[in-house]
Amino acid sequence: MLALLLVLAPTAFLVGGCWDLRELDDWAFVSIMGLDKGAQPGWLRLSVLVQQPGSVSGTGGRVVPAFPRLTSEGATLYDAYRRLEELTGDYLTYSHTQVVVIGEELAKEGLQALVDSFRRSRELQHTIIMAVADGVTAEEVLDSARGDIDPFPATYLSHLVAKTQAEYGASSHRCIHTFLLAEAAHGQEIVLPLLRLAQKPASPSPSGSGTGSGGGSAGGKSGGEQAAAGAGTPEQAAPVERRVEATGLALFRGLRLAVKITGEQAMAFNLVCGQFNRGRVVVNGAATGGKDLSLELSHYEREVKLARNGPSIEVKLKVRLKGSAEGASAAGVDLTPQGSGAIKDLVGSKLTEMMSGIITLAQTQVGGDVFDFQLHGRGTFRTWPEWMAYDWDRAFREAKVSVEVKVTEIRPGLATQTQESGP
Amino acid sequence: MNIKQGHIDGRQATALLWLAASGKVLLTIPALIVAEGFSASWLIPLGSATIAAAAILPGLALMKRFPGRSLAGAAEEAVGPIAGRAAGLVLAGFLAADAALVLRQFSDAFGSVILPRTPIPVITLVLVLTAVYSAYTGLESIGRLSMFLVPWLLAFFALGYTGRVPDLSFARLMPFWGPGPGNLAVQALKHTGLYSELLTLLILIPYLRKPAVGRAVAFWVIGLTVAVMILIQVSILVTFDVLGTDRLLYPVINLSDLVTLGHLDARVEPLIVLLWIFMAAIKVSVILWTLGTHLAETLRLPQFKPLLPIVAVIALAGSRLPGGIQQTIDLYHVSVTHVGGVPVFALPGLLWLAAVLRGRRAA
Repeated sequence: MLALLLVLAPTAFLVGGCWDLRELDDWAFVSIMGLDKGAQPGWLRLSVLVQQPGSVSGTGGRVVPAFPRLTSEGATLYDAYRRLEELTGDYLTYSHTQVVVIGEELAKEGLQALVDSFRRSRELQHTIIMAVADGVTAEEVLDSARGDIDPFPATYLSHLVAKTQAEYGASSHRCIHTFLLAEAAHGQEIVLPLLRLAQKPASPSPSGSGTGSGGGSAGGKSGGEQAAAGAGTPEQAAPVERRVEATGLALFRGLRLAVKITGEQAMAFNLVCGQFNRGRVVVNGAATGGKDLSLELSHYEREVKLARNGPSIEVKLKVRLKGSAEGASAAGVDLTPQGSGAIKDLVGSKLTEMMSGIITLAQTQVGGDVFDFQLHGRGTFRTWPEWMAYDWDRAFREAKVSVEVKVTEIRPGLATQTQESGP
Repeated sequence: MNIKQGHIDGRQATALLWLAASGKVLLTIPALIVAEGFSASWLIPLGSATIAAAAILPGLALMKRFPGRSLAGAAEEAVGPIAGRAAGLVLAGFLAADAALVLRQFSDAFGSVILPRTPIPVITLVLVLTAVYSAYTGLESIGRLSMFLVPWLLAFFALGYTGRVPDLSFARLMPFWGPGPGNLAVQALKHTGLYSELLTLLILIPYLRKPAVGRAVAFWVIGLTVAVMILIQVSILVTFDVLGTDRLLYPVINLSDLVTLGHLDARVEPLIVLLWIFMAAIKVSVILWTLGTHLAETLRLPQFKPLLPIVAVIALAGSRLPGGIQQTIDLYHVSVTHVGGVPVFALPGLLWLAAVLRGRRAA
């Protein structure tokens, strides 16, 4: 028993780490991290939205968290971390970060400075969502990141990215892990979600209340200024403010941003790379009677056949989908088995065109395999050294890619009445 | 001559050796194997297991030839007292190096990943104290503890595999032959030290309630260990790819950081930490028990327990010798994984051959 005590006592005292105890209130939790080009060449500008547990207060039964934005610059990410701690005197922790936003300028210059820091960081979870700011700095995105309902900017922003990605059909989220995976892989390129700022009507509360909820003081100021400008005029225009929108995808070549795609291009990207879940497409042609027909696409299946002949490759891409006509757009459109054949062809040819377009864009403007065809290509090699010696980038750029889309079924949506069963 | 201690049954021995052998996957071994076997690195433990299963047979035959004798005693019977004792000391040296390097790796890994604010020597000290106490209580208690832990550890593993990992693809196991079939065979031969715990089996055979089950225990241990190693190696490859794994130090910890349970976003990392602690404690205590017992038998001491503090200090001091974690990893990989097959398989095999050629068998 004495021996057991002699073992357990030092274990409890030594491993518990009680000599440098920090209470929960001492910590400042970084919820969103923004990274931009620093003022000095090669430096990084780090902006963070932090939440201090001690700053959360309850007013009339409502929790009002404060999220001050802090900024520092450093030669490396760790240097910027340290300078931020020196500046604030707080214990900043990044283990609860939910989103990392990268400014467009930094993305264009290259993300070399982040790779090693992300890989080595003990605190940054690799499931953290990453996104690129479209045309603005990450700092500006942080200032405007606030939701109408969700008082927490980080959860708002991460849900916004995830939901918008889902709108384009993406079935998986892009995070630090996928970023590092693409960076390290042979012949694979980085793809990240794109965020932009749009002028939108200002939300009444909680951001309008000026409590600093979401976006902190800077965000509140931004919205508040715009609102105040509108309030002073006799002809009161609706106050507007800059709000974050998730708009598409940023395609990288190496570690540099090459091309930004939005809307249908983003959906076509997901259809090509096999990460499509559900999406929406609008078709218009003789088969729809010259009117827009909105279809929800689902039951996605993809088959990739890749043949390698020396230095060149040929890719045959077959996609199968089902479509469901949406609401009022289907009124008056012939969705009977006889009539839907033409609509299937119309949807098929539209998707084929969209997918062929994004493939051509990747081959010409990006110049690298953003679709992960390399995962199919490497199976054609016998050994790893042979695969590593192969110039996949060139093979991809010169690849002959054929796309075949087959829409197997067009169903009337729940709110749709077909001509047969309609009045 | 057997020193005075209790006995365990075949199942306990299997559980104990399996946990000790599988504990390696929590260290840097998976990353090192990927660096040598690339996309086919999961085939290396399989090939090594096949070789180890054949290579352990002479050692088992030696122990069968001298029933009731310890490995040190059998060595003396086979080649005489001087050469036999020298062989025993070579094996003790190997076990001491293994203990020191494993202790350092577990401490550094624990310190850098789980308790970053705790000084590493403190973690080493706590780990070695726990392991010494466990070894001091004897083989039976380590065996019972292993049996108790097996279902929990299996449940933790199973829970990890029900989770969600972003961007996982089995296509990353291609090209199938990795470094090429010939090179793969060489790598399999070089990595027989992955099953170095079979040396512990040879040492504990006299402490099995039925020593005849030694061969079955060996095959079970090899089979279960290779299953864990292949599962881990495949999981790492399909998640991080070859070049991604090459840049990681402790891939299993990185993997556990990524796994979330369904849509709960609950991480399996805390479970892996528990698994890590128990496996580290069992592995180090098994090595210390093996080293203490074997050294006592080689030096013909009646008790192994007085040696435990001494071997613990040797392991503790040895663990501080390498200049850094990278040097520790390199030393371990060369001396245990690559060269470990010599003391674990070749030396007992040579002893058996000498016994056969000299016509020596138990009186």
